[in-house]
Amino acid sequence: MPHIVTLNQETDTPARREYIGSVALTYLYDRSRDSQQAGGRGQDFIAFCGNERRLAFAICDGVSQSFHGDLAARFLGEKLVGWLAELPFPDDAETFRAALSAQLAAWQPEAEALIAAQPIRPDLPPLLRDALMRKRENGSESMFLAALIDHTAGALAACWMGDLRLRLFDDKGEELPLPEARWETRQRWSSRFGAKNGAPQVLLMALHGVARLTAHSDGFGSRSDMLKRFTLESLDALADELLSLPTSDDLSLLDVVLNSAPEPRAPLETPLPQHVQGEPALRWQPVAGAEWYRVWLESERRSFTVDVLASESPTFLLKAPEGVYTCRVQALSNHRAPSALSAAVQLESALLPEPDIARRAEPMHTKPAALEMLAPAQASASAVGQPRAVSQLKKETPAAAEPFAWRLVTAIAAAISAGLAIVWYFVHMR
Amino acid sequence: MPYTAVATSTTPVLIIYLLDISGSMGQMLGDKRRIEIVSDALQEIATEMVARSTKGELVAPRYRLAIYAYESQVHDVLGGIRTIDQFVRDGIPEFSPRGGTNTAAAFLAAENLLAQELPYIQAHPAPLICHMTDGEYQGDDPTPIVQRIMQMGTQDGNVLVENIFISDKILKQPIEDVYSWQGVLSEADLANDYARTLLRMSSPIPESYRLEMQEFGYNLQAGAPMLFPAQTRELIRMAFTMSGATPVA
Repeated sequence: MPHIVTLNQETDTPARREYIGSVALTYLYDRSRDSQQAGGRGQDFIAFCGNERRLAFAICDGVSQSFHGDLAARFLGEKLVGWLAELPFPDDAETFRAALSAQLAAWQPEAEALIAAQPIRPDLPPLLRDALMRKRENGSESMFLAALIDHTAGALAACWMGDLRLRLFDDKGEELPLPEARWETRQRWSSRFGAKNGAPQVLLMALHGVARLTAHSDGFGSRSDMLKRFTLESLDALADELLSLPTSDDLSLLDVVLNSAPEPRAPLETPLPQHVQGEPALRWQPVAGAEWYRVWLESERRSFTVDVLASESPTFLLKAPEGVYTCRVQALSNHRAPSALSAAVQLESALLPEPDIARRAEPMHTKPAALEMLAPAQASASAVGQPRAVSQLKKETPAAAEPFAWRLVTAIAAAISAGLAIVWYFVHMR
Repeated sequence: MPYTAVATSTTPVLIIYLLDISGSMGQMLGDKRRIEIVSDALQEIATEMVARSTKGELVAPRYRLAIYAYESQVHDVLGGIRTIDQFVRDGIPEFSPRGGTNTAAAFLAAENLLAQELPYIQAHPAPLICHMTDGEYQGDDPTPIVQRIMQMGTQDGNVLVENIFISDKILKQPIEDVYSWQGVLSEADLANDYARTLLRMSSPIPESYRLEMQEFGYNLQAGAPMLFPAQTRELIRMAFTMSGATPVA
């Protein structure tokens, strides 16, 4: 399977479309107005992973009343997609439910440890600290909706807890009923308890007659009917409208059109990134037709992606915890097949590790939309076999050490100058 | 449907606390003075409001608070209305019991504040007044003022009035288990006239509030009055929990 791609919770991602095998994947991620204004993280989370045979995805809605709901959403979303991507297609709903329930229970201790280790800053006002400590004791919670589309089996396996919605449409755009489905707000997954307020809901069905499926968070509220048919532009307009309402909530949507294909044009050309000497940065020539670039990064400890809008300078400055990162660049477009991954270039970051666990898995980006990938060992097929262009960065002066050393030299020189001036004064002026 | 508007940072709910700090609040209830127990309960509900307003470390101003402490006179404790994020920075105020019990003056102050605020918060959740006392009023009868207040409101519904009566003489039968208590179900449950006066000054619990209270484990009956006999610390905590039970986004 290819890498798991995750949308970054610290930024907003406008409506975008990608082609994976025979499906067109459209997604959008917008934080609530409060979070946007305060520069906070979104509580929703989107992840996906696919190839020509299967597509796994998850949308999670972190419970803001719980402790850092964004953490549970991210933790669970990554786990669900990783699990579904490797899961043999289930034989029946009960087998699927039992396997999922076992996984939800198995992931709980790891999440509980993650949350317990999450620091609460000592400089916060006592009332806020008390509130956060109370929330931390109760754990982090998230609703979820995850699905596996198996093209070989021609079938869909979906599971959820909470009120995120899964909607299916036929080739005429008519919504198909899901009479057995129940969307219960009280149901969620908790880092403290695992599955909460009941067993997870599951759905197993053949994809015959299904042309499209949409998963979205409850932030779309009463306007969710607008999702029956949309364009990228109308989706962005709807998001803008919803964000202007007093009840503005995080918005996340992932839409899958089966048996789709990009315009019958060649894939985008592969970018040719070069290391910017003296900086942990890449630069490349613009690729004709590209609407954004995705920089795939891998280190020993973590992997992630950062998107760079094509309207901005085609450069990437690495801002990440200390380490050596293998970087590849890909060109993407809403209307054309993505390029292959570029040859690898190594960059070294000299920044100190971030102490905050919440930010452990996130890059510090400067770009509006950043994606993260997992499973660093699994390079995409298009990148395998390409020669690695290893930079000479290790021989260069570490970027973070240089300013300090320079300041030290300057200070010593200033002190010597001052001393000499005093001596000169006493010798010549008296 | 009334009382379904959610408290958000752009449509925060206004909550006015009227706290009796008369001399009798210095009396002991268990091992603490009544006034200290009220401070503790206020701290607890403020913490809960902060928790309900917080995403990560960000406190959204979903609640606006005013606190009037009253004895013979009324004191504006916060110097006007404070949003919950401002309240977080200032912390919980301290109270010293003294003087008489001019309940009517306190409700009059609340009425004046509502008259100023309501034109600007029509799209917000209905405001709530949480009145806490431990004894019968002195001076004017507050009932007519409260009845006027209960006719004021926003598009979400009329102003809600909650009364917390710190006394062990309000109910004929003591409450055995706070979590299974269904509320004051009839006037016949009440043991004295002032309790009956407070009953008439209490709004019925909106269904949305009742459901929020269920989340905290309380099982109040639909339509029960917002009148809480506060015989114990647990009951005071429950009563203050009600004051923060406006649905939030």
